[in-house]
Amino acid sequence: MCVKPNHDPFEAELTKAMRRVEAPQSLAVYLMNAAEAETHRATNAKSSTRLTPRLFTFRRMPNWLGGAIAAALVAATFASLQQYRHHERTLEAVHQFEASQRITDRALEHTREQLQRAGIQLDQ
Amino acid sequence: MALEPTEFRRLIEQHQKMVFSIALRVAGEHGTAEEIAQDVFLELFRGAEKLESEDHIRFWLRRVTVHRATDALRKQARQPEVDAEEWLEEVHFDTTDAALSASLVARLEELLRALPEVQRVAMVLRYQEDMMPEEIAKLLGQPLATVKSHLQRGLTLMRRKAAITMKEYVRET
Repeated sequence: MCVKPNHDPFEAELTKAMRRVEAPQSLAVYLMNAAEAETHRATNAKSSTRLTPRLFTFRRMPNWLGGAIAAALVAATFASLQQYRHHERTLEAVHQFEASQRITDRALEHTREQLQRAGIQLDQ
Repeated sequence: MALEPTEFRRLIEQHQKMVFSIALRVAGEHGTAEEIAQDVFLELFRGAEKLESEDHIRFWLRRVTVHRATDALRKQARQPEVDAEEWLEEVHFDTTDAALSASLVARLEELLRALPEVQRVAMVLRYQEDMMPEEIAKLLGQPLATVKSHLQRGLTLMRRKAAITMKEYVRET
């Protein structure tokens, strides 16, 4: 499509006319000042961050720590539940023994009374 | 991460003429062109670590400058009508070539500024930046046929308008 400029006088003139122009001197000056200001702002921002104390935030927790804490809580809960159930069973056993003993005592007392009425002295 | 100051200065010195010229010829106004150039270079300063080579930097600068200049052009209510002689006073270029007078340059610049945006961009990249249509298509993200159409149309329009005002540049077919 495009004829090479040196074959078309109009395109050749166009190429000459459209040479790059000089940038204003103020451009480079502005840019270097702006770059320096941005660098300075960035440096100050980093410094102010270092002055604040490092607080532990949940955002800094490693991924596995949450799971470990949850597992520990579950284990502790299970263990205390087991201990509670053992204690309950022990208490129940003691109550049953005491109840049995009371029944036995009453039965023995009844038998002694019957023997006494029959004239039998157990102490002899 | 931002550029080192010495590297940034080197890139400014190497490419400011290209960036400013593209911005000026597309946007059409000196002050706007300088603002565009400032924005483009500061964007380069902040994000240059993503650019891998000098060619890549040049490609990036051209593309970003064209986009910003066309945005500025669209924001203008009408086509810029800076007087050719006034424009000539603001810019500095080499007119030592005996065959090319300052008034001719100004006249051709006027014709360029009279083109629609899409054709103007293609013409600037072709005749100022000496880019081939394939390179222009890649830069603008347009089909090659579209770019060629813009170039052909832009050249035809400029030639016709030049024929009216500058009889000596009519090309006999």
